[in-house]
Amino acid sequence: MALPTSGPLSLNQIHVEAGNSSGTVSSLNSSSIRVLLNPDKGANQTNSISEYRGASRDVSFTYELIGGGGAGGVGFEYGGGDGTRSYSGSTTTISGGGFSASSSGAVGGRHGQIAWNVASGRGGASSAYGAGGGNTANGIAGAAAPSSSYGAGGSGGGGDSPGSYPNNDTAGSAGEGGSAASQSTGSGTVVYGTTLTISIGSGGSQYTWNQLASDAPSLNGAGHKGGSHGGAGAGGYAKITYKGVDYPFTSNGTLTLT
Amino acid sequence: MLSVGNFFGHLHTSTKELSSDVLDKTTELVFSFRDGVESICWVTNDKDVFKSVAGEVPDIVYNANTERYAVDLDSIGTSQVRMYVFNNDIEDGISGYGYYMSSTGNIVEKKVYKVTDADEPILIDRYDVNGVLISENEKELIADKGEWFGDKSLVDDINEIRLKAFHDHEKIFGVAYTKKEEKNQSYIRVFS
Repeated sequence: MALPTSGPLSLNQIHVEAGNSSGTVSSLNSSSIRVLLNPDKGANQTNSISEYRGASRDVSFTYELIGGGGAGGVGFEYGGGDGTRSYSGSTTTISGGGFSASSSGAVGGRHGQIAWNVASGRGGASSAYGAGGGNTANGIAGAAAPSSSYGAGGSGGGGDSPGSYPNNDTAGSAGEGGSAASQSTGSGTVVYGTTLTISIGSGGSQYTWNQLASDAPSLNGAGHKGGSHGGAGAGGYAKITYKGVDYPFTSNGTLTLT
Repeated sequence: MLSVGNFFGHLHTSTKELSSDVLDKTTELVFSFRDGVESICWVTNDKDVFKSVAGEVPDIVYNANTERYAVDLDSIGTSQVRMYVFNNDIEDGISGYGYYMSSTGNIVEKKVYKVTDADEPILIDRYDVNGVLISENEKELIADKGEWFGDKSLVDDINEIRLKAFHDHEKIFGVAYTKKEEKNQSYIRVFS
């Protein structure tokens, strides 16, 4: 809570606001209380009690963050999936000094989910920061979401048309595009000097059809057929703004608020 | 209009000459290679447009319960016109019928296309004008695009057009490759 802007104000009140114990030794030149001034004048400078009116050791900030995007599902050369999904993105978090905020990673697209002759649903979902991977033609690997589209989904892999039309049993379904994570915004307050830890969620990794054949041999023609890889989701992102300055993070890091 | 005819019709001399109305009504094209000779089978779901292109059409073809009427364009005007009616789906294990006709419109041979299982070959039985079996279970196999016996650039052209159609219009055209067993015959079927 900020110091009063009018009325009585003691050195001890300033001392306590700066995070020190009541009644312990202090002076106006102490670095332990000068931190309340913005800017800190430094050592051996003249300052007065009145300069501390309205001062607070709390630091307020705003933030935005988003988790990693989901990867696209694998496209099949033969048959369709059973609802299993590609890799999910992971969670982005900001934490420290009793504050925490997070955005979960998005789920991956379903393998072999989109009929061979349906175009929609193959592209990765867009996030608040940009488009996901685009739609994928049959026989083509899904594209990764652009790295600047934080939290967006990767494209599903393309399917395959029937080998002996109209016998659709021989067709392969395309992979579904990965989902996008949801952006989270807000504000927080921590004590001066608090170090926030920022953990950036990764996008779901590319899921190869070879991997799927290993993970789920019963799919895609009992694993003996080819397929098209699903594209990777985009990684997460966080931004902290305080005292009018933006601090963006695309990888893990820390930020000490002073 | 996003029809097979409009996207792929220019790839063969016979379809290149079709009117825009006919190309609009084109639902499928079958590029054929038989012993060094390339031809094209044109498919539509409109029986009247079919008749306008094929000319003399026997009742068994015109009145067939199908959305896939087909004629080999390069056979029109010859002594052996090839017409087909393909089922919309596999029905009782049969995917379609073929009719060879004389220049006077008489059916001289009938073919029955049978499908047993997804990965199994298409089996073809042939009958003469009297319904007497000439041959049976001739195999048409699912092939790879590398097994097209004709001009290889056709395969590349088809793939390029399919990708462009997808990226420009999100339109998907299917393609299937087949070949006859023990014959110098292969086919590329393009459909939507």
